[in-house]
Amino acid sequence: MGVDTNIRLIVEQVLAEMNQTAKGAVDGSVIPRQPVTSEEQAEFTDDYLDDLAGIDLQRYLQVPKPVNAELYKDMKLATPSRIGVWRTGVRPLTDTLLRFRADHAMAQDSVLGEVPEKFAAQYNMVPVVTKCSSKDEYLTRPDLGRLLDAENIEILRKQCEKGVKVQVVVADGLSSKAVEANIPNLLPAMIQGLNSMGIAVGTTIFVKYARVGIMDVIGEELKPEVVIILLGERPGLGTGESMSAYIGYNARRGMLESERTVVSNIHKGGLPSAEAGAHLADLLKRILDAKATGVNFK
Amino acid sequence: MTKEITLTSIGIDIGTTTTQMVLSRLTLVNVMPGTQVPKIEITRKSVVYMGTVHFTPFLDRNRVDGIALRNIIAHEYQCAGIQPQDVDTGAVIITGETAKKENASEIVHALAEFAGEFVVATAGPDLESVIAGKGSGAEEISKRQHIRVANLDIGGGTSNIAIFDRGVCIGTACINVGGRLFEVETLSRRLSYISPPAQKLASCLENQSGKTLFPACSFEAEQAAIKTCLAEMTSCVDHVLFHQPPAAGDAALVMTNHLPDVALDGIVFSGGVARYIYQPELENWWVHGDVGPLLAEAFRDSKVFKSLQVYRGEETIHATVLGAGVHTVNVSGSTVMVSKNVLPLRNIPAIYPELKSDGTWTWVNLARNFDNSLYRTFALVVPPLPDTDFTTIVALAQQLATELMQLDGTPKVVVTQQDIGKVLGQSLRCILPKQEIVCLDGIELKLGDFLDIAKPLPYEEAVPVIVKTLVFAR
Amino acid sequence: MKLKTRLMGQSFSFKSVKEVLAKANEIKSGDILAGIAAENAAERIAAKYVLSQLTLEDLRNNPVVPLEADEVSRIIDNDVNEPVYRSIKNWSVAELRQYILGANTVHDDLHRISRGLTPEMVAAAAKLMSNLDLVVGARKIRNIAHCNTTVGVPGCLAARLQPNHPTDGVDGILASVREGLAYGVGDAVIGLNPVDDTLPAVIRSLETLYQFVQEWEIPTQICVLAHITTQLRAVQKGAPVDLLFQSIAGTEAGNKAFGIDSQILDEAYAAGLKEGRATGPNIMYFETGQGSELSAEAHHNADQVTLEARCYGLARHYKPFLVNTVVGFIGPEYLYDTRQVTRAGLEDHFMGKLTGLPMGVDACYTNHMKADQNDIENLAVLLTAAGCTYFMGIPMGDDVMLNYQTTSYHDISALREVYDRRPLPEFENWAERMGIMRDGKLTPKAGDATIFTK
Repeated sequence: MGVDTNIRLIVEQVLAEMNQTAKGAVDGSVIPRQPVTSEEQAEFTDDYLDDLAGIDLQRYLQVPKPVNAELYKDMKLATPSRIGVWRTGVRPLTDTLLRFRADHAMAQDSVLGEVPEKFAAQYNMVPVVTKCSSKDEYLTRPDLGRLLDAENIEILRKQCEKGVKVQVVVADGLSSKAVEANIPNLLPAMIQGLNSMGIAVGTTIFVKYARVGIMDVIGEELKPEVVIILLGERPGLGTGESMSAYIGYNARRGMLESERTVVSNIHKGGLPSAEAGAHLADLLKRILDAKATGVNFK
Repeated sequence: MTKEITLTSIGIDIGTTTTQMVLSRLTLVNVMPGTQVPKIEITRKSVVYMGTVHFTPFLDRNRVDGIALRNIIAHEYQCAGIQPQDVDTGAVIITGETAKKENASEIVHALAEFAGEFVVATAGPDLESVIAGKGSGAEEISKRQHIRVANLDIGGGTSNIAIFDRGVCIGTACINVGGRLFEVETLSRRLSYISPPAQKLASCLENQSGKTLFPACSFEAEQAAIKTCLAEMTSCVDHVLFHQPPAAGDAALVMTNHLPDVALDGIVFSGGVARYIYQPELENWWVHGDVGPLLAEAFRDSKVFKSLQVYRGEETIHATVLGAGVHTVNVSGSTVMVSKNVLPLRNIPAIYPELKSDGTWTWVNLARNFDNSLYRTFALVVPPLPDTDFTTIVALAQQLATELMQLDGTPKVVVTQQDIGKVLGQSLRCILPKQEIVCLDGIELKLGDFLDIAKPLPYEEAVPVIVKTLVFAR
Repeated sequence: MKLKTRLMGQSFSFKSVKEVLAKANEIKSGDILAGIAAENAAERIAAKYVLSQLTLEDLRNNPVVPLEADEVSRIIDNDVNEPVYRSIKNWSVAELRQYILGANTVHDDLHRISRGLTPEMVAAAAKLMSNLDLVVGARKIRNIAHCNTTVGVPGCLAARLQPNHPTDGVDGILASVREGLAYGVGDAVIGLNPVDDTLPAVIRSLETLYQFVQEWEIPTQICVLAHITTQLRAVQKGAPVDLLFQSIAGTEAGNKAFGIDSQILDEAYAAGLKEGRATGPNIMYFETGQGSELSAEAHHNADQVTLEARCYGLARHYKPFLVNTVVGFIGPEYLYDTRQVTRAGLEDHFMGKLTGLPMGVDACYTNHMKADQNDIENLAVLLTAAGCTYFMGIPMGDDVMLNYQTTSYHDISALREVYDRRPLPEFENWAERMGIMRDGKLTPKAGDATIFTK
């Protein structure tokens, strides 16, 4: 529709004026297409296949002659499940199979991938790492993902303010892509919201190989009133970028899981990241007023 | 967090001939799992009290008797066993001839103590058609069975048609076909009154045939004449529904017609006359002092009835009042921003942006088309953005702030469909810290909407919003 | 009872039967996480050898959790048929393995000894068996149960249709139900994992499924896999319940973490028999999975295979219609990779069958495991060869609510075709009437969900 196009133009224009640098930096993490090296090659290099992952599956009906195509379309819109995919014999069609594999590849890369080294610095975060020495150890030793060694604790002591109202922690968790996709929008929105309510926020910490329980160690060490940890959720096939926020009032060692407040499903198709930031700012305000999280909150 | 919330909703239908109240309970449920941000949907609607049908009190032919109306509603509240403060939301729908400006304000005034928290809307024939179709269950049938059905709500003075295509209303029409266009003496069963539209139709038929229909020389002749007229009326409905060329008499009957030329899968009848379509009862046809059962008989002979699959909705007779009380409420997203104590708001025009020559959006010009003295404030509608990044939203907030400050009225209301209500609201608050702001999302609007925004739900931030779409209006 | 051995000159000694059982396990990351796994390959084999020489009596007398400390141990011990037990108690585990695999041992024999076995014996046998042993052993056993239809019928491969939806949306659930039925899936049960465990939501989903099954006269059973206490309240309110579901663990403490105990299960079982809609007599449905006790810190330092066998011992007490392990769901800290998941799937299926259960398997994986769709297709092929009772059927294997992958509608059809298996008889007749199947094969109409329109 014309309205959409026009809006897009304006927003692009405004964006261009506003924040060239930040935007460019985020784009930098996306793998660039192969560069065009010379004039002669240009006509070939532009010939990409359509992006298999670009197909909106909920609008892609493959059953050739269904009894009721309209009903099928509605059914597909009613669920993100992979229905209406048809078959060859008793097996799926080729593009269905490859799309499934593509989505799984994305999910696995998201688990096994690492947040780029420069990411923490880019968002002024203090980087530390848990006692896990590799992603593999992280996956098999949940206990180590909840601990920091003396060296990393020392980094926190030196570089982070003690006793702030809200300590923000970002962690890769089970999806590095969730961090990269959501933090650039979530963090500024949340901090804008907190600042406008006069709530002091400490230096954001980035923890590599972390489980939720890392907040207990950080809470004990820095004694903020509230710790909020933003970490990547275990990816589903369609949602490799989903993030959760766990919030602990007076976080400390031995804290019960039920004492934490959780907001999950933060991603483009769920709660969009900027809106999530605003929501979390409000939620943190209410938590500070109630002086409690988890089952003790509301 | 509370999983289920129950709201008490009142619907009052003040029509040309009758007034009725219905009390219903809406069950609102958070459909999202525990750790996710709530999404509130209306999952159940149950009628708790269906009031008796009263004749709408008039001072003279045109003016509603406010005091008498107030007493009717007070009596109904008593019968239902509720106090005005128990009511969470609802709507007064003023339909048909009653919906004139002076009457509307008289009714608002008369019902202030009862309807303080909720909306009073003059429906107009098109909204009335939609409401009846929702109230009868036609909308639900079309949605559930993935089909296209028409709802034909046949009342005393008009028949309201709404077509629902898989749950979405795609057109309405209003025709002067109703059970009380002819009134009869219950003792003699002779005609006592012929309404102007019926009169017009009759003269048209008289001119065509050269024979006089009314007054008739005998009871039998009168009956035949009435039936001729009723048959003509139902075939007018056929012409409209099936897009056939109109007959000469149709002009006297068709008030509005915005029906798209589409094939129908079925028909649902509602309204007082519909009862006799589903259950023919001709023996004492005169009991109501009108010709409703005869009209129903004529409909059973019509193409609409004979050629379409006939469905029966959950409610037949009281479709409009049910629709008014239950079906007009929408619920916003649950991450929104609302300054304290600024709700409820009533009759807020929704303003859509236009593109300026420099490529930016503006709302102010369109807002100025509305008479400032009539509206407390405006709702600026934000069309879908290409992305919901923080920088995009901040840029949008800057632009909106400039526009909002050029408009009178408070609070400043912004409505979006995308899930950005809270972040946009917080961004606006940073720019306009002194202004009261209502920033809602999850509301789908079409051109020509007015909004009523109720108080936020208890325990939740989500806000019930009544969207009055006048898109089919003349 | 000897707990010491030499192996290739090295000596190994173990402190308890429990330690032998743990160290005799094939390698599992969960046992390593619990700190009870064999130190190395040699110790593992030494433990297997020591285990092979223990008698069944040794195992009964040394449950991994003592009777006085655990109601699951007590229920299991009470259910042992004493004459059968007496007739086999002097067997070594090595002999038990050979009896199971022996040429002259048929289904009825295994069914008989099953009643004298405790989970520790069942697990011990599994620990001595290779993957192919587990296939051959399980294949002999036929466990039949009846709810509305009969499951476990020889020559059949059934499937649970799992129409999960991220918000329990009625239209979305029914969309997946229609699609699955159009592939001949749904004969074991149409079973929804609800997002929302509250009573009104569970009743709504039950009624949704019930009405659909009624409308299309589908010979199957329905289930909404909410917490059993929620289902109990639903059945008491008159909601249409066929099967009562619960996830169970192999220890009392593990069950406590699931919010249940034997009293709750007894009450639900009784209510289901009294108020449920199903024909019965089998009306319970249990899910299990290696590692759940450890994740709840309720494992009593026992290994995850033995604890899993104890789940089946507990399940048997309630004469269930369906039991399945959710074998790859728990994550790499318990089952690290394909190899471990495959092994666990074969172990669980065999142990469930030997315990007398109509055992199915949710052959699955999560995205943080070292496994992919090829791996669980392999496992499903092995399990079908082993006579697995049912698998899960999900659109393209992608569960959009639980965020994991399992077997797909297509996979069910493929496995039936490869091994010449049929849907359950009543269901197959229905599928023929609907024009979805003919002579056990999908018809050209199959795969179009909109055949279910009126």
